[in-house]
Amino acid sequence: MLIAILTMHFSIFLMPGIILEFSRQYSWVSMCIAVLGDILMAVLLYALGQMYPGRTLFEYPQLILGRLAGKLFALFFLYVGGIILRIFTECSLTYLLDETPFLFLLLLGITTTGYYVYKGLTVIVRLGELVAPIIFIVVPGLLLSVSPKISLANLVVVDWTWLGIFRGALIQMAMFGVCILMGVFMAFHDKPGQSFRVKVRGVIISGVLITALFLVSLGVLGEYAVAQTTFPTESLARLIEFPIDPLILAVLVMGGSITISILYFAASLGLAQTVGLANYRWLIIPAGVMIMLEAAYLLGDNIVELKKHLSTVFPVVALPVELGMTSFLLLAAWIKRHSYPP
Amino acid sequence: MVIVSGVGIEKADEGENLRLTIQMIIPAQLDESKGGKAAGTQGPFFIRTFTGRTVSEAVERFQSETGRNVLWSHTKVIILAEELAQKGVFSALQYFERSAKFREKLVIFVAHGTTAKAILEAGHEVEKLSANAMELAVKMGRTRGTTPGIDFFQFITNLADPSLSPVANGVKLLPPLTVSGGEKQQPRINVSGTAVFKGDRMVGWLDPVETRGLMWLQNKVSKGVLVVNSPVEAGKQVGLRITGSKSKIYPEISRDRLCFKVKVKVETSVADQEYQGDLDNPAYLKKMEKELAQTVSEEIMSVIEKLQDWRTDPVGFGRTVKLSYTGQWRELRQGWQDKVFPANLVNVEVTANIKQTGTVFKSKMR
Repeated sequence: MLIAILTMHFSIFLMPGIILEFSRQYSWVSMCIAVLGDILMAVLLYALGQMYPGRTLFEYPQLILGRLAGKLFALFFLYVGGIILRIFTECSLTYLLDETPFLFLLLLGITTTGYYVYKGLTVIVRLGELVAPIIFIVVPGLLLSVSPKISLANLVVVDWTWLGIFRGALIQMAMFGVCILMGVFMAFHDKPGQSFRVKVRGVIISGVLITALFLVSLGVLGEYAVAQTTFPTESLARLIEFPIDPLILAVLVMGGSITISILYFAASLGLAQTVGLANYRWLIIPAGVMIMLEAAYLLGDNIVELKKHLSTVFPVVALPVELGMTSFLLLAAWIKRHSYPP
Repeated sequence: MVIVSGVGIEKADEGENLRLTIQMIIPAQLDESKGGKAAGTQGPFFIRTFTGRTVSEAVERFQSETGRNVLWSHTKVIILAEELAQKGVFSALQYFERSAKFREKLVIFVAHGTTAKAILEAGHEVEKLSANAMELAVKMGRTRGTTPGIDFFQFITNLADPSLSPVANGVKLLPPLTVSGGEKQQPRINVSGTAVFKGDRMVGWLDPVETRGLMWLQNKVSKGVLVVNSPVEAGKQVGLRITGSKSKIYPEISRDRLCFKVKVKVETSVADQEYQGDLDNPAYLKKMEKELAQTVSEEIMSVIEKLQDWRTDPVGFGRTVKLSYTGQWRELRQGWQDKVFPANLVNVEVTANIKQTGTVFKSKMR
């Protein structure tokens, strides 16, 4: 299950600028907090999974709280799917297809991923296994090749506040927290325990990789420049004599489409399960339309508003769902089980 | 398709703010076998000038006039007029910063004593495109310390940091060579010297020797020749080829006073001498090493004086303080370039070595 790792790849693109703006040179501290927070979520989910084996994340709230509550997670995945679709569209608009209509790119993204979703989870996972090695070669390769350009003075910490570190950590934790998807896939897994290990490993690996990315972009671009750079990763790639920036964009497209399709799949499945449909495929088109509308209209009119949304609204929406809801569910389930023994 | 190879930016004369000169490649004429030149052009390129309130407006006018797709990604050089540079380059360069069409490796020049247009129009004896010639000259010059070799990325990154200032490569035109009886040739492009900025405004020029002083400070010299006086015969000179160098800036704070120690290590080998004297004597070499150290030290000091005079720090003295004295940096960085850096003492300590004498100890010629 390389999915857990892939899911977090979206923090590579728009995010470094946003998080570095808050936590600057201490982004690694933010990252440690975020990884710890995320492991906590994994523990909570694992405990829930043990209580209700063979069920998905959407079914827990139905079993514990009643029917409507399960929709929350499905809607949340729709929301995150929309965000990622938007980020990838913006990035390709800036660097690749600057004259293509925005809505056309969105449509292209959603139809491609919609097709993956229609083909089912196996196809997405297989595709992920194919793409993951490419990402894990290209990204560290990029970092190694720009590392001679690092200037140590850029990494020295002069100004920092706990608030900055904490805000950076919250955003990153919200990003990683999308891995509550594990709760969906645990049900399809032969051994749920394995799914827990895979997730923790995935979060740690990508935590290390993203921290490295942060520090390298900071060291190369400098603290003043990096926070203003729209897509630092791509900017780094353009510094290398050897033209690898198309490769980075290829990674963007491959990783992005898989990430979106996983969330898309989870959202359609979740909606189907809460509505009571046996086959999630009926909901692919409605879910796709919702994701597209959200990406196009809900996240702000322009990239500046999108950035603002990601740094302010997103953690406020995501963390209560990811951390709050899961721990509440666990608590409720525990109380329910103890007060009414089955 | 039109391929742009170089862009020149100047202040416009009246009305509009900026004048953009664009050098475009004519691909068919790059092919030698075809020969011939299109009417009104000097080589396999042609030049057009457009004005606009912003760079983007001038670009748009160019775009609509050509009526073809413009390929910007092969742009090799940006040439800024001196007058524009003195007034600030912020508005001229932002277009290139925002657009994803340009390479970060784009080389930045300031035209010395001439217009950006004249530079782009000038031909070159070896290279077909003057933009190519300038790019190659910068690549060659930056290891030799004759030009700082600054590209767009470095320029912008230095400009982003309030404790730093950028520098740009200088380019000027040399008078044309006249072949006896032949037609008058075009002026020649000469890439040398450094335009020093404070913030986004240019404050002055460094000549090629001072430029090498700047490059010593930044640990960027690895080639080139230094000429010193002979230890044996007065008035005669010895050429020494630089085989390697290393330099580092050490900030020191003692009793609340900040000072810098610059340590430079130069290794050379004898390239030639103006007389027949005997170099087969270690004492002579030692004497020359002393002389060499003195020369390098003077090169460096002359630059530091100028920089302190201009109140600008393109070298990154401030960054060394930030690395070594992070706590004190919090106060020192306030007005670093304006007040703190110009007031500090810089000591230069050069260790010079002459390691080899080439294929002979003493010239065989008599």
